[in-house]
Order: sequence, then C-alpha cells, then structure tokens
Amino acid sequence: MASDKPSLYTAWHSPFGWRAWISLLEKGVEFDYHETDPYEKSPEWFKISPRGLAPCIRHKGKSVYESTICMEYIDEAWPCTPRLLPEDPYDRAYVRMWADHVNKKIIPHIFGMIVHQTATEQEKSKQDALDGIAAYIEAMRDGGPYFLGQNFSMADIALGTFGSIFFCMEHYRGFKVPNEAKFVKFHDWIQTIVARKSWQTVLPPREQVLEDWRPYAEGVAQTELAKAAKQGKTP
Amino acid sequence: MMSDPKPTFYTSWFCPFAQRVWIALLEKGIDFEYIDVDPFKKTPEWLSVSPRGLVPVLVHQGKSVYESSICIEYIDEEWPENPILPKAPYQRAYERIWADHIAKKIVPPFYAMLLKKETELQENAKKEMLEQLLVLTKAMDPTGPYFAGSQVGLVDIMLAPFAIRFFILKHYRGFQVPSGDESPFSRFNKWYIAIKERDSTVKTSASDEEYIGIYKRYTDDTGQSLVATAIRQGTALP
Repeated sequence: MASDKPSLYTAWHSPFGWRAWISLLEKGVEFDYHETDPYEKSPEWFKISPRGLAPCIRHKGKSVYESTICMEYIDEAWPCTPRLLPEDPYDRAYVRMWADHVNKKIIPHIFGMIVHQTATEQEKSKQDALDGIAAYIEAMRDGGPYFLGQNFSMADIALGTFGSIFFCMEHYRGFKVPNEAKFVKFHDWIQTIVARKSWQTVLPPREQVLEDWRPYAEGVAQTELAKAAKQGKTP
Repeated sequence: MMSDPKPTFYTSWFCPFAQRVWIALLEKGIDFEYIDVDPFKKTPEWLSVSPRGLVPVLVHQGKSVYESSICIEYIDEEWPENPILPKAPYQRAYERIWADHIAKKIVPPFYAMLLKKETELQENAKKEMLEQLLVLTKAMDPTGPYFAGSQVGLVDIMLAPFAIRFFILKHYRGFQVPSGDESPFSRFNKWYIAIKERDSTVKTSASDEEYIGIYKRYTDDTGQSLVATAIRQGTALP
C-alpha cells in the first residue's frame, strides 16, 4: 500500500536538495530522509526518480522531482502554514517569476564562477551573479525581512539555499556581495533566512561544504553538473 | 470579475512561447487586448512593460507577468473556469514536470537543428529531439488524445506551438517524426492530430509560408534573438 508519509531522496551537499528538505521542515511534515548519490545511475534509482534527478520526493507511490516543482508540490500537498506561495494569483506569479529569475540569472553564474578556470571567465560570472542578485533585491517588497515583505515564501528558499554558502564562493573566487547601499538589504535578508531552524538543520559544517566544492573549483569534477555548469546550464 | 479591466497580451506573431499564452487565453475564453510588438526593439517603454525585453508578457491591473508557463498558471488561477491545470497536487506536479521536460529537452534541439551549421550537429539535434519526444510520449495518458486525457492541459499548450512548427524542421532539415500505427510515436501522432485541429491552435497559428519565411534567418545564421544567441554559444535558453 502506497504510504502517506513522504520520502525525500537527496544529497546532503546539494543546495537544490536543501530547497525540498527545507520546505518539508518548514511545513512540519514527517518524512523519511534517504541520502542519495544521483550520479550512481542504478536501475533502482531510476525506478524512484525516472529522470535520475535529485531531489526527488516519493509520496503515495508517485515521484516528484525538480527542486522548484518539489517546493510547489509540498505547498499544495500540505497546505498548512507557512504557505510557500501566497493566495493572490498575481503574488503567486510574482514569487514564481523571481524563483525563475534565481534559477536562470543567478544560480548558473554561482556555478560558473566556480567551474570556470580562467580569471576572465570567473570575473564575468561574478559580475553576472551580482547583477542577478541586485535585480532580486530590487524586486523585494517593502516591510521585510523576507522577499515578499512580511511573509516567507518559495522565493526566499530559492535563493536562500545558495546564498547560505556564499562563503564558499568567497573562499575559492573572492566573491562577495558588497556592503554598499544597493546590496545592504541582501545581508539583512540572508542573516534572517539562515537563522531559521530549517536552515540550521540542513546546512552542513563549513569545512564539509568547502571540501565538497573543491573538485569543481579546481577543475577536476567530472559530474554532469560540472559539464552543464561550464555551458551555463544548470538543472 | 466583471469590473476588472481586461488583460493586455503583448506578443509577436511568430513566437512559439507567446503562442502558448495566446492559446491559453483562447481556451479560457478570456476577453483581452492583443498587442503585437517587435521584441528586438528594446525601447525604454517596452522594457518597462517587459523587464527582460521578451515576449510573451501579460499585463493585468497594471502589473506584468512574464515567462510563458508562469503566464499560463496566472491565467488559470485568476480566471478559474475551464481549468488548464488539474486540482490534485500530484497531477499538477506531473503537468509541471513534463512542461519542464519540454523546456529543457525538446525546445533546445528544436533550435539547435535550425541554427547549427554543421550537419553532424544537426543530426545530433534530430536524434535528441526524437529521443526526448519518445520519453514524453511514454508519459502521456494512453487513451488521450491529449497529454493527460480527454481535456487539454498545461503540457498540451506548452508543446503545441513547437509541434505545429515541426514542418519547418522538415523543410529545412529533413526532420520527421516517424508515422504509422506500429511506430513508437503513434501515440504522439494521435496527440498531434488532435491538438492541430483544435480551435485555439488554428486561431493562433500563422500560415505555413509565413513560418517558412520567418525561420529562414535561423538557418542562414542571421537570427538575432536571445534564443539564437544562446544556441550559438551553447548556453541555456533565456
């Protein structure tokens, strides 16, 4: 009999995986955690996640994958507070547009600055990432501390997972979100986000994060993620 | 919501991404204003409506919604009659998963096939397209004719504009989805016949000659769109 209790298949080090993990924690959903290596392409893994992607949620005999789709699914399957998307259709579109912005205009450059091996390419990625972050900040609504203002949402989770490991990009590439006026809101925002219990639960120790990203920074990672990131394509 | 002003739909007649939203508006029976724009002219006025400078954009009650799938979900939620997405969370996730598959696995080879100069790369794109169409076909409801069954939904709308442009791929690159009842694509072909004759598809499509003409600039490498640039550079589509 298909279980009502969901299973989360994810990798401890993946900020994409943290999106689904944090969403379940925020909702107070009871779930089984399965540590997963999505690069181990076993037949068993493809039965769980048909496209071989992690994070993947198994719930009532069905699979949901792609981190943004997981967040929406979690919000709809468990519609208790906190709502990850607001009620109003335009506000929902707003959250989706800016989560999409994070995925298309920020994350690829976060990966880019790490996987590119020349200074020129790294500098370009860093600037592109900052441009994307500046746009996100400008789109933040007044009232704070969250993206929508007073209410936490999927837009916070989309960037906040990667934002919580920017120390890693600083370590390898000297990437810093400046303290100047345009970016001040970012620092207030990320401090609030990272202090949430769900973030504290998922974030690995600093040294482990740095070690996990080292092969990418040194140009020796052979994963699909590394190859895609070099092309500016990330999941 | 009779007192609310009608939405304005900014589009370009040839754009398959914008066609998706046009189809959704027609399927819903929404009264809207249609404005054709030249998305290559990045005027300040246009950028204030469309921050990314792209079509489609839907402006409603003074606010802009962009990205075709986001526009469709907005339309579905703002005007709940004749739903495009189902109610159950898993069915909704399923539609979104396969819409995502179209975006990441079917749209890129469509453009690569037209834009790449080397025959080998064109052939790779054809192969990729057929492989990914087959994966999508296997995810379809067995009876159909639409993706999820007897009702048109998000996945149908996301795929339709590209499927009706497959004849362009045949014209310029000799690409064809295999036909015949025994073909593994027979379910896809059944879907295609149903979607092609649907009113919303017919009303939003230009003539074959117009499409052949407009897509020529992709094949002779003069295409200036962000899509064309991304394909040439091998980066993700905007």
